[in-house]
Amino acid sequence: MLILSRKTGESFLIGNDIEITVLDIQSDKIRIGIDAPSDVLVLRKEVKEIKEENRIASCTVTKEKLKCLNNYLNQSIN
Amino acid sequence: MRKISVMDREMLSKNIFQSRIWGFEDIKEYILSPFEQDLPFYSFQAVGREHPCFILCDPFFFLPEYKPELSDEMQKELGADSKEELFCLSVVTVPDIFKNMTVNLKSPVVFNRHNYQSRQFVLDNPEYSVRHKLFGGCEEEIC
Repeated sequence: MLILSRKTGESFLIGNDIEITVLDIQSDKIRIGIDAPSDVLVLRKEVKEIKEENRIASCTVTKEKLKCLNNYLNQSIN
Repeated sequence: MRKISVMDREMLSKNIFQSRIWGFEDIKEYILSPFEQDLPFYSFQAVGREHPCFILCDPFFFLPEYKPELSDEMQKELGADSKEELFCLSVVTVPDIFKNMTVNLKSPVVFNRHNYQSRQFVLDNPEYSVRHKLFGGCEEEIC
């Protein structure tokens, strides 16, 4: 892994047209600005996990299951 | 952020919500329908199609201490004047064995009760998981 040290306001380039700038540094958080062409997908890493979980969550829902779930929840909660 | 009320539940099911759910960016309109008998669960169904349909739950019912930190940017994206206009629900993943149900506390769907805008956000809170087990107990399967 390449490791760089940057101060607030400094930036670095990835390839010719992606520029990453350090905007603000707090104790446990930094704000980063990303300048990239619009066809470059920029995602927080956890979003990948969230997309996958959404896919699983939506695949498991059927009408029959909703009915069963209603019964189950009624017994578990009420 | 205010909790969801009985009045909210009735009003909600009559309107279409604009939404953005991660991984389903093409689907923009959903109907939120409460489960029967005041259960803290909802179906969140894409308008005019069978898939996707999500099950959402009121996270505060199960975790009264849950404190999602909503930023000013999130509030602005939903067009809300104050965070009091917002409420949040969490996506539930329902496996075949219901007691193993999990809830995504890391990225709640936040709703504006006034303009029917909603979005799934990623919280900064590091302590919340994408797969939090909803029932710690050992209820028997009945279905």
